[in-house]
Amino acid sequence: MIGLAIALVVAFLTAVFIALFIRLASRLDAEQCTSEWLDNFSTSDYAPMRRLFDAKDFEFLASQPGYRPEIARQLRAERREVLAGYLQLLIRDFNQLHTLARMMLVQAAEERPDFGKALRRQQITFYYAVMAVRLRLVLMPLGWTAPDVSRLLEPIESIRLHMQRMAPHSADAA
Amino acid sequence: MHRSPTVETVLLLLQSAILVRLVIRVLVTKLFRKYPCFFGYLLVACAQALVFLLVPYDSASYRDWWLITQALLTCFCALIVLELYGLILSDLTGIASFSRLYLKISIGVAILVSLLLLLVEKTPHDRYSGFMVVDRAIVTSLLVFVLLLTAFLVYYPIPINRNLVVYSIGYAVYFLAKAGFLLAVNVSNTGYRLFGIAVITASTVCMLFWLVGLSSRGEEKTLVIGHRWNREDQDKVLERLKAINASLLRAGRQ
Repeated sequence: MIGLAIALVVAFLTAVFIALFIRLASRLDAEQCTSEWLDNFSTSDYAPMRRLFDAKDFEFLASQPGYRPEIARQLRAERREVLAGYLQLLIRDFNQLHTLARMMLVQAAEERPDFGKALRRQQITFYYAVMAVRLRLVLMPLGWTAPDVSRLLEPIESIRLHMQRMAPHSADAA
Repeated sequence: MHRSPTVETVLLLLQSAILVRLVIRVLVTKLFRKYPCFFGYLLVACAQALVFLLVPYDSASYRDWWLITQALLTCFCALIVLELYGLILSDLTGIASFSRLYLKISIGVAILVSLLLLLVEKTPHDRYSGFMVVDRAIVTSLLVFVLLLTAFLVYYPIPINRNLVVYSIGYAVYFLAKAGFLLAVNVSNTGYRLFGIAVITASTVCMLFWLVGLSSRGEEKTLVIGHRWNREDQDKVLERLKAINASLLRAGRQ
């Protein structure tokens, strides 16, 4: 029994090491580390996401002739899919921005513990918000209210702000 | 003279041949200057292989020599790991405090995990089994330490050279095999011969891997990007970092 447990632990550690070394050998995608991406990136692209479950849309729909509750249910279901799509894009953009920020931190000429701490904190905050939004999306058909997506954008704005403050220091190092 | 069993003899001869070539490679490429502990480890491993080939397998002096050389090798393993991560984390100005803190936490976690495993091991009945318990504790703590430090390197895009990645993979394989088999032996108090064969095989595979992977060109310090290691890629990324900084400064002024 203990022999089997040891074998399982060794197999698990082997898998973890393989995954880590694969990630280590391909941890940066040079093609994605561009200033053009950063120039074009804006959280305003995600503004429509905030209005997906705006009560006014549903009130307007209810006031139209021939309205049936199934139509509102259908619209909610479609918008849940749209939000899930936005979420995927947002996660990709967040990871990209976070990678750039970590790169700046490592290449910095002087120590910036505040920046490092903020990066770690914002990463936790962002993924917590992602989990909360996903949970709400799953529970919405059961009557739960729509998720608050503004919490998803706050960590991104915060990282961008920190990066702007950090830029002069990092520019000296680079 | 009593010879060691055939399997062990073949493995030892194979390991000795690889070891000699690896020592020559480290000498020729002058890597011994940068990695003195690793070079020391190779020399002790050479001495151990020589002793095992010369001393009768079932004699008391064979076991004594095994104990001495194995203790030395374990000490060198600890020194190698410290040497390796000292080199990686030496000039990280931007995250100096955090890397120091992470290092301390990693050492603490590694020691704790290795000591917790003592709970499942049987009480040593002689000095050899006692040594194996201590050896297992050290090797396990080194294994956990390497695991945590690799995770740190995955998270932060720290410039590392190809040789350091090759070293790390080799140590991970060796420590994993050795810790696993040592724990199995210490828990069951049987399978000593199988353990010996497993450790010799693991160390032979690692040495072969280092022989193939280590080179003087692998010392060029660069960011690791998409499975390639070269100066051009690092320059490209640094150029982009400058452009990103300029972009951020522009955005900040708006």
